[in-house]
Amino acid sequence: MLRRAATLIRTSTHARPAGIRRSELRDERTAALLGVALGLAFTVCFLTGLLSHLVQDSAGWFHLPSRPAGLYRVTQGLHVATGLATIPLLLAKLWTVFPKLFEWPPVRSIAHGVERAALLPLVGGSLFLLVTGTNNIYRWRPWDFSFRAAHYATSWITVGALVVHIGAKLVTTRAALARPAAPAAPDHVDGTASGSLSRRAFLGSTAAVSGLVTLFTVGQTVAPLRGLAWLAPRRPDIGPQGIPVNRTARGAGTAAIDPDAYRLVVDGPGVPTPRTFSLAELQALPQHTATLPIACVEGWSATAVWSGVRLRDVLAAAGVEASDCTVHSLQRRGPSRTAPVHRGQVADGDTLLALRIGDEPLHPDHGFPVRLIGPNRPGVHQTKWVARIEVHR
Amino acid sequence: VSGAAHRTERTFWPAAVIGFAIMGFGVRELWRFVPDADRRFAIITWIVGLDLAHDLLLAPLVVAVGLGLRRVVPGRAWAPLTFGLFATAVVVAIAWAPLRGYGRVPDNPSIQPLDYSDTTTRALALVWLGTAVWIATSAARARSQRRSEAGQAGAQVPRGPAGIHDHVGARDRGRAVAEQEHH
Repeated sequence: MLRRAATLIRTSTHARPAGIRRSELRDERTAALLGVALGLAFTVCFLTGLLSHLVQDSAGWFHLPSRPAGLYRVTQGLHVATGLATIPLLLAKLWTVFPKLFEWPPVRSIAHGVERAALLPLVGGSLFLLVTGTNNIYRWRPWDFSFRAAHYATSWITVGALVVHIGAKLVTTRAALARPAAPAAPDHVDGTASGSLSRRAFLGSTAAVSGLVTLFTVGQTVAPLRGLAWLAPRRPDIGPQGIPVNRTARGAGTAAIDPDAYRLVVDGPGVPTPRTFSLAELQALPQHTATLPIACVEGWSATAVWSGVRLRDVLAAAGVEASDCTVHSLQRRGPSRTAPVHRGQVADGDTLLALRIGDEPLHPDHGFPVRLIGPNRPGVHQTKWVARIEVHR
Repeated sequence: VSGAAHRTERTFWPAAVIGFAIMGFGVRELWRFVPDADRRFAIITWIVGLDLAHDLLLAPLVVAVGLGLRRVVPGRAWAPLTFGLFATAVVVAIAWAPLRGYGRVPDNPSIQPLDYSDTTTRALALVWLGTAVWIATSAARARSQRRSEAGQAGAQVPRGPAGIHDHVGARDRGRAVAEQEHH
C-alpha cells in the first residue's frame, strides 16, 4: 500500500502532457544551483548567529572589541536579512527535490540510509530555524521554550546535517555545475521550456522573491530603505524619541523612578570603597557626546546622539581603573537585567552612562534616568535604568 | 526517482563523521541549554512537525496548484504567474503575524509600528504589477516572434547555419540528452 501511494505521488508530481519532457526544474543542475545558494546563506546565518550567541553567553570568555562601533549592527542585520531571504530559496529547493522523497526502495545501502536519515534534521531544522526565527522578530512566540536556546542548539544540529548532505552531494553538485547548461530554446522568451517552466525563469523568480523580501524588510536596519520596510517588524525612526524599544518602562516596572531619590552604586570586589552617585552628581561630571547605533539581535538598529558620563570617568571617580564590570538594572526580571562590560569596552571613551538623547533627557522607555550605551554591543547589553555597577578584580 | 543504483560519493563518509559529530554537539547543547525534558520534547515536536507539515501538506498543495495552473492558463503566462503566486505566498507568510496582530505589545508602539494591511497590500500590488508587466512583455515577444517566423516562411528563406530551424534542432538534441539522463 505504501509503495502504491509512493508511485501515485511520483506520477502526479511528474504529470505532463504527452510528448513533453520532464521539467528541468527537477534536475541536478537546478538542485545544485539552489543548494549552493542555500549553503552560502546558511553559512552567513550560522556564523553571525554564533557570534551573537558567544557575545551574550553567560560563560563570558568571548568579548567583542569596542571597534568598529557598528560591527554588531552589521552582523545581526545580515543575520536576519539573510534568514528572511533564505525562505524563498529553501521553499524552491524543497520543491525541486520533493519527488526524491518518494524514491523506491527508500534505502538502497547503508550510506544511502545514513544520508536519508540526515535529511530529517536538515529539512526539519531548516524549517524550524526560519519559521520560529521569523515569528520571533515579530515577537510572536507561540511556543513554551526559550527561543534563543532552541535556535542556537538547532542551528548546530542543522549545520551538522548540512555537512552530511554536502558530503553526499558534493561530487554530483560539482559535476552538475561543470556541465554546460542545455542551449536556450526559442520558447524560453516567455519563461517556459518545452511545456514547463524554464530553469532560468524558475531561478530568476526565486531570486526576485528573495530580493523583494529583502527590500521589504531590510529598512529596519538600513535607514535609507526604511520607507520600503513594509513588512519589517520595526522602523528605525519609530519609537519614543524616534528610537524603537524592546521593553518599555511600564513593562519593566521602572516607570516611576524618582530622579531625586535615584542613586547609582559603584561597588564590587574591585572597589576599595563603594561609592554612590546622585543624578545631580552624575550631571556635574564631565559630559561626553557620542553618536552610536543601538542594534538588536532581532535585526533592527537605529542611530542616536547620546550624551552622558563616560563609564571610565565614573569608575575613576570611585577610585578604580577601567576593569571588567557587571551593570545592573532596576528592572527585576528579563535577560537585559544585567550585562557584562569588558575592560576594553570600559576604556573606550564612547562607552557612556547616558543621561540624554539629543537635547532631551532619556525617555523612561529608553532607561531614564541613566542607561548604558557603548560601541559594538548587542542591544540586550545596553542596560537601561542602571542602578549599580559591580566592578570585578 | 526510482530504480537507479545509489552511488556513494567519496566525500560522503568523512563528511558523515564530521556532520554527525556536529549534530551530536548540537544535541548536547540542547540538553545543556534546555534542561527541562518537556521543553526539549516541544522543540523536537516542532522540528518534526514542520517537516511533516511541509512534506504532507504544503508540498502536495503546491504540486496541485501547479497542475491546476497548467490546465487553465496559457503556457506563456506560467512563468509570471508562478512568480506572482510564489511571491504572494511568501509575502503573506512573512506578514502573517503582524496581519493577525500576533506579538503586538499594547504599550509598545515601536513593535509592529505599521498598518500592515496597508503595507502588505502595497507589497502585493508591486508583485502583481511586475507579474502583469512580465505577462505583457511575454505576449509582445511571442507576437513579434510569430510575425518574424511568418515573414521568414513567406519569403521562403533557405535554411542556413544560423537559422531558426537549426536552433530548434539544437533544442531537440538537448531534449534527447535530457530524456536519456532522466529515464
